[in-house]
Amino acid sequence: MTDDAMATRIEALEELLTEKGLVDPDSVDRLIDHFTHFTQHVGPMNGAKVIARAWVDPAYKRRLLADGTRAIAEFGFGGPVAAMVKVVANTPKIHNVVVCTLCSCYPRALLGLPPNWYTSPAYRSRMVAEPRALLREMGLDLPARVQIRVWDSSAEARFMVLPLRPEGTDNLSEARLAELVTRDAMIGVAEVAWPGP
Amino acid sequence: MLPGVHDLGGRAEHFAAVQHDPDVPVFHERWEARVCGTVEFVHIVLGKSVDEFRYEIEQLPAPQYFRSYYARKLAALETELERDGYLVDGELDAKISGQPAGESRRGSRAGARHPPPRITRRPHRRNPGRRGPHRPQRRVVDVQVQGAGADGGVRAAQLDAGVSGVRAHQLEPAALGQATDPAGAVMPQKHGGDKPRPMKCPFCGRPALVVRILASPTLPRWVGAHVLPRVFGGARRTRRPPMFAVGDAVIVRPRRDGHTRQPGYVTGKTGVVTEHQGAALLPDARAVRRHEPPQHLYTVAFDGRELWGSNAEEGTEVRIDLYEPYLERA
Repeated sequence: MTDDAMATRIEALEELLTEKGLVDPDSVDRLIDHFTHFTQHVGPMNGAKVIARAWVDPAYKRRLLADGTRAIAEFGFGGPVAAMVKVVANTPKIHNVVVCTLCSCYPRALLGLPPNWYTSPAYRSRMVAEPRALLREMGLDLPARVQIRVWDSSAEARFMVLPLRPEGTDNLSEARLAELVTRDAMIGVAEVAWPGP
Repeated sequence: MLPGVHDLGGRAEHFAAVQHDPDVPVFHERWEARVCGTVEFVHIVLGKSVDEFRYEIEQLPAPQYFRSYYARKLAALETELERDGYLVDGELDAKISGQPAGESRRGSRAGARHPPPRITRRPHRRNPGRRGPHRPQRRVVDVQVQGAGADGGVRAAQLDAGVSGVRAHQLEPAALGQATDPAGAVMPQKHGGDKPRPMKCPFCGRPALVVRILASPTLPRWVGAHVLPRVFGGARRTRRPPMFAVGDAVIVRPRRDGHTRQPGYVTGKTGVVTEHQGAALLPDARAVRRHEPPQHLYTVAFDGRELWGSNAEEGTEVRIDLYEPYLERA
């Protein structure tokens, strides 16, 4: 079906449901504005703030790894799909990466809506079976000594990766560190880079 | 049981290059945004659990499922609304082509002359396990109606879901496979399902509060930490002791029919419990509104070689949360 056909279809459905009183167009608009704005400007930054705090504050890091939902609530983050947030930490020996093979579960309260590659059949089918090759294709070539741990989001938990803090960033502020953290790094398909001052 | 269309882990026929763009826009087309917003809103209004909608998506024919993420959501929303009786088969196509409305709407206009019916129960699913994957069965609507239309049509609406403004649309009792008394009123059906929990504001009775929570940039700490997980999450307490402990070897038992969160690629494989996550409502039951006690939930680690044999990459493992009924002692 073409984009035009899809546009016609959802428009007609919205009209029908509005006539039936099942849809309130203003509320739908509000949700869409929120999702768009949140994903483009707020979402990944929420996750990044959490990561930066965990890098500079060991006590926060412990709380975050023990109970992600409570720890992100310290920032006021959370929501209907954040009932069980689990943050998994990369170490020099273990790299974590997140996938949902059954649908497209994603830590929306922290990162916004999932990018289209995350929901693609190729990503969902391959990441559990050949994570090393897929990560390399996506630009992350991990040494053989690093173990790869793939988290398949199948139940209550929504996973986010705590990436390694890049070297040479000891003097950076928490806010500056947060700017370095990308959505891809929090999904686990990239590392956080520090290009230098 | 064969894996469903959605069960993609390790399925080599889908192996392809991932079109990875770190700066991909949220929505590529405006229609995707409309689908996203409409799906979210309708599910808030109807008090649908995520498992119910997932089950709907999983039953789409492959060509519809693989069209795109938002296309499959729209297709599943349509079949869901038809199954639940909010849309009549062909109604949307008629709207698009500008054709006059079909049979089932005729009674709607006739019914308008009569006092509005009172409906005391929400729709529920009959024989949930027997739903065909391709053709949606019409959902039985569990209603108690006063003042049904003269033609025997039933105006089903104004749910006790508290959705103010859900107005009537017409459903034929015959089409619903439901008994009618001589006056044409639909007799209430017995059902064993859970009473749905509409997500509405306890004060105003509208879904506005849920929309506000969804769209709010930040929340009070106690709301995010304590209130929302209880309202929206599936985690529950149970008194039953867990069957497995951290370190136990477990084998994933054969999959059962219907909606499940047990992927095909771990089925029959042996893993090790690495964490006990407490207990939670079983999605298999939630998807069909079947009431079941909560089940223990475990994180299980599977070595790559166990899952993929000689094809496995060195030094890789998958960790996945699995409910106790999916597991047996290895």
